[in-house]
Amino acid sequence: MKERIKQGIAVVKKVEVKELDFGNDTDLIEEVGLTSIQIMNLIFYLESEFNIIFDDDDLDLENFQTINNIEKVVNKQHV
Amino acid sequence: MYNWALNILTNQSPDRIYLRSPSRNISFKDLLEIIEENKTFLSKSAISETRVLAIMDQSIKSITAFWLLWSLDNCVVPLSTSSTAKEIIALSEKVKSNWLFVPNVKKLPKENLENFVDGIFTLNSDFKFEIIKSPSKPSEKVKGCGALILKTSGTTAEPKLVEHSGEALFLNAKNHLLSLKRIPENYSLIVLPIVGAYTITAQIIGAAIDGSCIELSEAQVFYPKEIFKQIQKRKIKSVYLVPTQLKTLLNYRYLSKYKLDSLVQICIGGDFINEANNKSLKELLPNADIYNTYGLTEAGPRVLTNGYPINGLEVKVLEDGELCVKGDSVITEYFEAPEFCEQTICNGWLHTGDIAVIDKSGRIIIKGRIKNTIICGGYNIYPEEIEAVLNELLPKRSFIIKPKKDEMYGEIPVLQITKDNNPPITLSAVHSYLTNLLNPLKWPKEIQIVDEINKGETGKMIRK
Repeated sequence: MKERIKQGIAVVKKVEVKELDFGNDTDLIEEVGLTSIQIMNLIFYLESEFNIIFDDDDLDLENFQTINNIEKVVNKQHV
Repeated sequence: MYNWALNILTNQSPDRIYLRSPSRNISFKDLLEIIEENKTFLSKSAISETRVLAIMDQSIKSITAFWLLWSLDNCVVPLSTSSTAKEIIALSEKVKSNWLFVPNVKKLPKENLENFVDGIFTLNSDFKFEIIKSPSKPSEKVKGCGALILKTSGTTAEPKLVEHSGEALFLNAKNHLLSLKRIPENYSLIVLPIVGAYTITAQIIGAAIDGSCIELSEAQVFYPKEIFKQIQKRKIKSVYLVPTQLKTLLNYRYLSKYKLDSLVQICIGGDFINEANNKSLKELLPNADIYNTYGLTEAGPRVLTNGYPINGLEVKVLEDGELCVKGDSVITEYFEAPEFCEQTICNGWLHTGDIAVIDKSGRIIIKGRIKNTIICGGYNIYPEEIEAVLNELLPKRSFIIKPKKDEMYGEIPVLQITKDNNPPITLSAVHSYLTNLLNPLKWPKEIQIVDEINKGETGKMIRK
């Protein structure tokens, strides 16, 4: 799943996955530099990729700030 | 000795909270104490009456730094956190500054900036200035330097620099406030980057003049849910937005879950708000005053509130429809580029580059920008006019009308729209909708689907 999430980050950042050199706990805003629009596009991407719809409770910003956090919130939807 | 910034801060009730964030509150008294504690450091380091580049994030430290630097008659040259080393170095050379302020060392660009920027300093967790890198030579004092230097692309094709004095910023902020209904005990949320003229005058300086409290978000990005949570929890009364942000907020799918009725004042600036979003906002917050404001960096920046000029400014519309403005906060020349003044400033009148009409009640209605005009087969098309009509058809979509070179017509209008979860839109559906609403000459001739529409630092969509 982490790879699919990373693919989504690459799509919204318009770069190749191999260019993304950071860990699963790296802050996607502070350290990777995702912008507001990129985060929102990432949310749309994840919903489409995993066929889910996030609830309002899931949409806290911190849930999308690291790959590990994103994995948790996506898994929550799959349960 | 008189200092415009200290004059504003000392006129306020000392115990009133001026800055509030989830981690720290700062009253006017606290701010004056922080200034006093840092004065010696700044003077010793020759950071007075000089120009200082400053990477400004959405933090209390950044706003505090503005006032600290202003209190010693420095001119702040704000930069966004996404600035590259190349941009910083070019700007430092242009404004002849050898100091760079960063609110947090992590905000320094990852590139090897230290070899190029002479001196770097920050504010530590106790709000004391700390030198990260000493400059090789003391900074030059600039007699009578302004308080703020900003980039602008407002009235000329290439970005220029504009320098405003503290007095001009004060006047513009004060007159902007006078054009709004005063809110007692106001809590004003900052969501726009604090590097633009609008936020710096209307919110940072305006709140200090008015005794309002500025609320800052810990989130360093514009994120609808965080904004709604903050408005609800902190009982925010006023907010300043650009239309793209407003649209993003109105489109949040769980918007109705939030109680936002503490909001009594919404100021929209930076671009043209469309009727559909205006209507949605009024339905959402029937008791709030919505102000459509218009300005440009060269003017200080505020010029109009709901179509009427603010105090201290004169406006006129020329025969060809161009809006001109004159007044104390309007620049007399561009920073070290007097040659550009001939194009834009004539006998004190700043030619805004915007097309306007005056309605029967004397209200000025901005129709579009001259430089945005698409000349299609000799016919002038204002993209803003097409966008205003299409907003009814595409209320929840992010789109823009752009020019495209065309062999036959010279330029044609194209509709650029983002790829999102909405069903795709066809050109025939757009044309069918526009029948009887808009002259067919103005219809978009093509649709371009894009991942996102390019935006500037303040969130404005870039048209060309």
